[in-house]
Amino acid sequence: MDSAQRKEIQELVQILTEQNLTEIEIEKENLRIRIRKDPGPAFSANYGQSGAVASSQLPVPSLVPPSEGLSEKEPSRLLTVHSPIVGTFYRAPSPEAEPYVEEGDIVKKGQVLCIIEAMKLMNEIESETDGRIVKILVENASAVEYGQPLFLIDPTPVV
Amino acid sequence: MNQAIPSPTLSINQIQDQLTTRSFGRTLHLFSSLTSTNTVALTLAESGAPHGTVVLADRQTAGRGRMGRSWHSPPGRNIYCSVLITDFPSPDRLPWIPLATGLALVQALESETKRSLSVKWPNDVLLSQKKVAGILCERSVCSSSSFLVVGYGVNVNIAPSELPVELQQTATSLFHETGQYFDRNVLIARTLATLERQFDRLLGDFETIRQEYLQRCSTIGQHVQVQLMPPHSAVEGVAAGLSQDGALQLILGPNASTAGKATTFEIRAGEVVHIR
Repeated sequence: MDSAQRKEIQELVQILTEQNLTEIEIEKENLRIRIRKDPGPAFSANYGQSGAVASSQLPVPSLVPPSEGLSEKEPSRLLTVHSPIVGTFYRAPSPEAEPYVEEGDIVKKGQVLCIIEAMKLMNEIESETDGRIVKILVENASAVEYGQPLFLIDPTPVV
Repeated sequence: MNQAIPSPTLSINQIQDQLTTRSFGRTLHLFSSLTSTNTVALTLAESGAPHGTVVLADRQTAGRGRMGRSWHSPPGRNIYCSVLITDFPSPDRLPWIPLATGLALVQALESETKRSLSVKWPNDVLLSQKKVAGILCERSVCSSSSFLVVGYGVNVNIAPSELPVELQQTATSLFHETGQYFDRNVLIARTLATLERQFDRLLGDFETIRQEYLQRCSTIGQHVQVQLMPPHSAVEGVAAGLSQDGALQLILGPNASTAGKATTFEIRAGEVVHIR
């Protein structure tokens, strides 16, 4: 793949993300590119006994292959943790405390990655996978939108 | 400092004798001293404690408020209570949990004190314009399990002089405002009853919560300033109402950056100050 093609794919990924699409396909000059965003696992079992509920505001973090910020070396391995709600992103339980995670940290499934506060409901966002924090995409104490990427995690087992 | 007051000590039997709930407080853990009732409730949740489990402490050594702020928790005076919630309302109603909790506390405390209380958006419980109760809702979010702990502290029988100096202008207690001592066992049972009723409504009759909240919310109609999180700055305006998800709708004032043009701004996080 040459650099022009790579750039073209990156632009398509950007369009996919900005327009919130799930799939783009183009064809030209004997080249067909199809980019598809995996909608991720449906964590419908989380809502307790009320069962699965369809909503535009899923209350659990979605973990999907990233559509931006790909590592050149391991593009397919990284997973993105998205914000499940609109709120304020905090990396630590209090301003004086150590952050829950730093870039490069090894995390376990169920480990708290951050807090997102919405209307004074403190949502502790836990990792859905074992892995390594490759990138923290949001500044501490900043506003985040629904679906905004928060972390890139490499779920590859660490040897 | 902590002399005896004419009010009974906390007792599981006395609380449960007063309970009118189905599940809230039917499993009840009472400790003489804990770091934080929320912390213990979250730990119990991980080991499978049932919906409505209540953790109480006579004293907290590391009582917590929002973002690590401390909650003054001396022994023998106040209520420090956490309720475990595993039966969740639908996702669009989750943001209402802190608001519904504030409303529940207002209703319980009003019925016992016969005084008028209000809630400052989203959930500070005020008596005579001062904070008498605080709420900390913490939710653990992951795919394998999900639960919520609703924690609240109520300043009941504490004297103003026992409050930290820095809180004396902004905080109060039921005793200070009424001149009466209250039986915390009764108050706990009452707050659990109104809380359970509001959680039932979050699962069903939602419009009633909204109406009752609007009636008791002292922020609506006020000129307020809100310190927002980056990348936003502070905004000022009139609190006009609540959006469907409980966000505060602010009509920006004529002095705002969009001068001359009424702009509505929805607040979901930030520090709200009533300017009047």
